[in-house]
Amino acid sequence: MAMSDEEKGGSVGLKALLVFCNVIIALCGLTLYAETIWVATDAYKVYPIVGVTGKDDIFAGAWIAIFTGFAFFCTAIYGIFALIQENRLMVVLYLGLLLIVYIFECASAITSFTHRDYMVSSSNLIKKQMLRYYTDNSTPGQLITNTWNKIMLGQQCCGTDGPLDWINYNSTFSATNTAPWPLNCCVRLRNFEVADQGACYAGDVRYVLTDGCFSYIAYSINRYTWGVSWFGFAILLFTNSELIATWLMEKGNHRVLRPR
Amino acid sequence: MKFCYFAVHVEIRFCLIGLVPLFRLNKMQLLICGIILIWFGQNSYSANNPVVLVQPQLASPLLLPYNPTQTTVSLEKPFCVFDTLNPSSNANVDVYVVLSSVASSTFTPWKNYKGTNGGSTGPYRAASFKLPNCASPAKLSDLSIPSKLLSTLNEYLIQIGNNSACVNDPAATDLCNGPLGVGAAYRFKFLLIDGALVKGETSWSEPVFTRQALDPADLDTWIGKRTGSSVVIASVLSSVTFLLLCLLIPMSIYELVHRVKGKWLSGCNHKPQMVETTFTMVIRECHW
Repeated sequence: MAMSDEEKGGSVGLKALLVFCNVIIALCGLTLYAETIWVATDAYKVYPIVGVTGKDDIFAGAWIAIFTGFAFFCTAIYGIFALIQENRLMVVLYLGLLLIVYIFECASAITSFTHRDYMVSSSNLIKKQMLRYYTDNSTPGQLITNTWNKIMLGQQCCGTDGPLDWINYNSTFSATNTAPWPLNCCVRLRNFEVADQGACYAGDVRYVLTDGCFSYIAYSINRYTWGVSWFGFAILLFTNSELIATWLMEKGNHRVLRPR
Repeated sequence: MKFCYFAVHVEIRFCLIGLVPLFRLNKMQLLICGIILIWFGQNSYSANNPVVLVQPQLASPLLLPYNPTQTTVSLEKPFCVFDTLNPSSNANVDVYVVLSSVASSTFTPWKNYKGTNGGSTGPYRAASFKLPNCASPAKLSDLSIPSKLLSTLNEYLIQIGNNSACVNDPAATDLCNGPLGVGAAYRFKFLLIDGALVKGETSWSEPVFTRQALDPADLDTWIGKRTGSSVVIASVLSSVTFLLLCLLIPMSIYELVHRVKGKWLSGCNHKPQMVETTFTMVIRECHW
């Protein structure tokens, strides 16, 4: 390759920078891959609450990001080879592949965040679902019942916004039970026995869990969204600048290589 | 015995209030009615009973913030309220419940939940408990001891409407503390029962509204405003993607066209060629 010294020097520096960027993209891709696997496995156990609404876009976004994370990794590795080889066809193919992955990752980030807004912008959606499905005999009802029992027991909370949810509204639970709220709303001792069921059902504040579970559910969904959307967003902006830089380099080489 | 009382009271009301049927009674029956009135006058509810000017009170909202619920109301038991009437140590207190709309100053006691259709035709006897011991009440400090908590709470509080089992139980004819109506106003009264006699009473309480049951379908699940984050993510990503596409698509088209043209023009034979340009000598490689 007979380039002028200036052009060659600039090109090598840019190439090294681009290879370095690709290493970072590969690492970020792996991180995104691992992290969205964590989201998809639903460590906070709130999937039924999201799923029974009929949309599970947060988790769909996570599944897409599992794919794109790994694809980022592979494409970036391929890009490093393409850049080192200085094969223009390989670089162009790399740009095309990265663009496709990029667009998928955009979809994942946007979907995940819009769905987060849908779920937790107010507590009413989750409250309505809880009142409708808690202790219901249907399959979603059993899922929701189990999920809520676990959350209320584990997080020491009651209802979506507090015990008032159970007595302010008609619900599947209130239609079939004489207790004002579920047993899991009762304060428990360290060995997880109910401290005093009678006092709990009578409404004694020291024996009823007065906090709602919405903060926990919102926290979980927000954590998931941060992982999928904001991390994806950061990678995308970085990839974007890398794509443009590669494009410029390609364009520059092209001018250099092309006879006029 | 209780059944007897019940019958007697029905008879009395029949004599007193049922004026139309009165003329249908013969002299003998009227006499019986009169005798019953004299005998049981003190037993039937009348203004002659000493009225303690105290109203039943709701349990403290500091202790029970969720009281009343949709179907229950917790009241404070009347401590030391009836002391002026010198009740015996084994006196009981009966709680009478009536819908606020049909409450009146006089009524017939001993009716039950079913007989009054849950208080909608007149007061019913919902619960009965031992007169609270004014001299040595349960220690409030016991409320913090879990094992004594419930019994202490029960010493101080009486929950109306907590027995839904007796409503459909044909055997439960006497005392049924059935659930109250949802979102309705109720009044409560304590009657001091000493032996078998009504010895005193409190005033009717202020109307107490049970909690209104809201329909979950009315919950507004509208998302409202989109959060700033979602707007930022969507707008930034879409504009940046647009920019990328604007750069890359023309580039690939140009690349393709150039290659096709270049191959056609140069007749590429897979060998690098030295080409002289205006400024410098470069190698022209064949990429195909």
